[in-house]
Amino acid sequence: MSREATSFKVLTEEIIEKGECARCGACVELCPYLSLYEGAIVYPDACDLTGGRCLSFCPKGPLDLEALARMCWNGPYEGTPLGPVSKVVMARVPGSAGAQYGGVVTALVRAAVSENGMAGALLTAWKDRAYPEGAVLDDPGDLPYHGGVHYAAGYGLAALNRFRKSNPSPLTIVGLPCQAMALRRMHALDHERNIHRNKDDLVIGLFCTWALEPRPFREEMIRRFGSRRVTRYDIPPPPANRFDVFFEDGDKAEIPLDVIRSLVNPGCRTCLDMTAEFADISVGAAEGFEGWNTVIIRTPKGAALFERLNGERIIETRALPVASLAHLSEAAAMKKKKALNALAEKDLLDNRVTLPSGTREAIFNFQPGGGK
Amino acid sequence: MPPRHPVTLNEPGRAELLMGNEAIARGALEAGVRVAAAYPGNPSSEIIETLARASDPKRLHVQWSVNEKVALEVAAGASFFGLRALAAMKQNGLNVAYDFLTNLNLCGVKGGLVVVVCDDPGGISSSNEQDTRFMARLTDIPLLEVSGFENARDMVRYAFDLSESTGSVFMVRSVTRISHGRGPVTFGPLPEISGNPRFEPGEAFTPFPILAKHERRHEVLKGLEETFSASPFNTYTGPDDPELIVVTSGIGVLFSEEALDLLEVRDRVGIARMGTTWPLPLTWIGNILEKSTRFLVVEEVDPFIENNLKEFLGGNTRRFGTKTVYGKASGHIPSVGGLAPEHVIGALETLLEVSYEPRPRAYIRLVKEKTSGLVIDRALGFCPGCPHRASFWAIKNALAKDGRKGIVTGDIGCYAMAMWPSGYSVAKTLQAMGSGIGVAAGMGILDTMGKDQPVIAVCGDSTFFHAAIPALVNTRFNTSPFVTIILDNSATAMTGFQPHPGTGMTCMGQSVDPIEVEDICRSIGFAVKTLDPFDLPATEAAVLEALRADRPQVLIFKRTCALLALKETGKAYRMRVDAERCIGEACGCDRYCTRVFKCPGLIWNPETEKAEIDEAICTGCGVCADICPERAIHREILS
Repeated sequence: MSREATSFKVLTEEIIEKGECARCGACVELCPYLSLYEGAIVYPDACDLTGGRCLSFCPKGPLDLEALARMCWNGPYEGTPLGPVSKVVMARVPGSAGAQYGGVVTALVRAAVSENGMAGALLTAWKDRAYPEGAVLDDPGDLPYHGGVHYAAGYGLAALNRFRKSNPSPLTIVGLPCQAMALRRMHALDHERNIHRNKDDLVIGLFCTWALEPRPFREEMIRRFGSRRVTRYDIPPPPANRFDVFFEDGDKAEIPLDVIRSLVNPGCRTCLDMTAEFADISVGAAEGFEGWNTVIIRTPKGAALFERLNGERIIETRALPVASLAHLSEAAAMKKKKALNALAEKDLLDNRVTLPSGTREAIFNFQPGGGK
Repeated sequence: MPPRHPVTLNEPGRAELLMGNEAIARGALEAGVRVAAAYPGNPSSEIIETLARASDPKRLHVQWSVNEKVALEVAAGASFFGLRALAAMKQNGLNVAYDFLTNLNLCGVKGGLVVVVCDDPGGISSSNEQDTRFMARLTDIPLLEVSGFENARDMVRYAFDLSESTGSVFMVRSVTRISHGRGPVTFGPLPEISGNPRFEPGEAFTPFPILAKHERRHEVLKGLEETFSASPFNTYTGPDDPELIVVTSGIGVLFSEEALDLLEVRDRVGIARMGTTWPLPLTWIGNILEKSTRFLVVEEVDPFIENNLKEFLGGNTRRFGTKTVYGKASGHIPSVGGLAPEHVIGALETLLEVSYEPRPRAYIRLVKEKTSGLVIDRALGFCPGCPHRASFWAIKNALAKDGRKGIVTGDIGCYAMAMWPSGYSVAKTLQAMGSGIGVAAGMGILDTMGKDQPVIAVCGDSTFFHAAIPALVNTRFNTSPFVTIILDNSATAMTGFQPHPGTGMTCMGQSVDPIEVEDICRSIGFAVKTLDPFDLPATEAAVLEALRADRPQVLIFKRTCALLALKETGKAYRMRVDAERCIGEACGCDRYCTRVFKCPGLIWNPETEKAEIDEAICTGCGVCADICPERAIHREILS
């Protein structure tokens, strides 16, 4: 008789140590065994339980996409490039000078946290400008500091685990695709000590092709720039092929994008999701339209919030050109294809990630312009 | 001044039940020993502790030296001035002293000089198993083996007399089962102490001229072959023409006697007890070898007598003809570990074709049944409240946070348990006293060759004085970037709280200025940081910071041994587990305090499924309150 492997063992040996961790933060701060330190999960001691919350929350843990989709969307998992879509539009906050793209995420958060019952917003922020980290803010006045794209994975959901120990209220959560997926697992898990079960959180997803591994990225930055204070990073649209670093003193430095790509979190290579399919509403840049965001409205909750902002003229919208939608779908489909190949290479398809039959073929057969 | 001990009384005829080590001390007192020195080490420590109770600056100087080499040097200094002197050590200690001993043998001695070495067969309280008898032969010094309690007293007296008359260092070997066993000893008189130490003009103690001095050693040994043949310590009991003779020494004598009695084979088997095992007492052993054709050699640990007998037989085949020697080579006696009567019984059962059943099986079953549960099932580990537990907790966490898969080089002391779960298995190497730092120095220099795993060396305070200082000087001289952590618990705790240079007290009860570990490290050139390991966050942060440095670092974790602190200052806190907050085995804890932190003062109650404090053994250190993830363990300050 074989003993079931402990959750800790699977999580640390099969996921973290095999480069599968998405660095979403869902598994940490739940217990003394998994904690966060300077951009890495540390685990000095071993837990010997099975069925732990850590592994059940993990977006890279054993996952049946069909089951999750049915629970979350009330529909099947079809492997379409953008996931379930109610509406795709372009949007921006008029005159939002401080935001990196269209300012829509900040506006959505500000509006969402003012709604009844919301205890605040969970965002991923820079801590001492060294490593991004999750933070729950109840005062929207703090928000501008957290705006902007940080590129490094930040384990933001750790802060949610910490917050919920003392506060059961729902939150507005801004997260990457892996974090949106983890959140749905957190909301769904039937476990006597699951403090996230059935929470009415609002999930704002961010488009993501990859995130950087925090420690190596930090080391590279220190190697290049020492202790100079960075205000933000940016990847300008192709064919620039570079990574821009903006310093507090107004200076700017450029790093070849290939250098940065070598620091990509290895766990991102097996991620099927570019547009945060499990979020209520997903937001990304609108390529080719400076100062605009692309917004995918997915759930009624996401739609209601978006329409409120639109109605109050806090944001303005315009239709996403067909070519742009096709381009977005193509990019998302490409991520899925690459991830499927990577999963197959690591022998994780069906072992770790289960897709409904036919989905794999649908992903590989996706033709640009022919998708939904 | 330590309290007097019955062993110190000048009451000839008085009988006392003495530990083997006390009997050895009594022998030294009856021989008129004037200086005794040692470094603590089981199973030898009680020799000096006993002698310390008879110490007197004018008559008998007793000291805990910083290490065994210095102890033997101190004893030799006294001998060169004509006084009788003793150095005691365990088997590992002889290795430390051996460099000096292998020169001292050639130099010769004036006052009788006896080295008592207590071997630890089975390595019960040692880092190795080692038969030191070969080292006596290797360095051409005479070897006696004690095999009982009064025997130990007599033999030490005999060793002093012969050492003085032959001008030769003598080695007396004991083993754990004798050093720590007890038996009756009837006291002889204590001699009058008289005469001043004096170094005569014209005297010199040097190994030169080497060849002449070496030759002289061989002459002394040659002479002793006959002296030993007449020694009262070599005896034979049994038939004139036995089927088999058991040749035995040390504790093997007692086990062999027991085996012969239990098997009721005294009429078939003789027993030859050897007290003088190097050089071989040729006349006596020749007579023994002529009595029979079959011999079983029973000795701990290695085949020392066995091989020497075979060598003697091989050189005298015409005289002895064909003889068979059974023992370790033949597989009749185990070749590792300590002996027990059943080993001798087993060998004799085979060789004599007899059988023996100690007890009916039902009786054995009954005893097992009645006694199981009387002993608490507890793994080898640190005592409740031990500062080392907190130290290794911080080290373990710092290494995990550092994330480069760093390792710890261990050393000799209670903290050697960092090899095992009680110390979170962080230590990955363990050799001799002080070796942790030396080995780490060899790892640190590999950074320039691409090594990216940090190294931490741990070292106790007594170990620091014993052998770590040269390694630390080497670390600074050859710039090896690693972290040295001195675990200063202000005690030589593992061997029984003997004083050391940092404690400010000698074993003769004199107060002296303590030598601070920190001062020594600073003088070598380290920027030392001293921490209280019970302050877990600060300790962990200091280790992390030190791990990131590219120069050698020294940290001192200073906190008195829990057993001493309990005696001196009592409990700081009364600890309590809030059962409401304790979540026990549930996800989020999984018995973190009892299963991972592992202080024996915390116990898991499987019925309530909560942790509890074992009031009987908790020392009230308060550390567990800081590690409980649910903040369910509370401290209550005791005045």
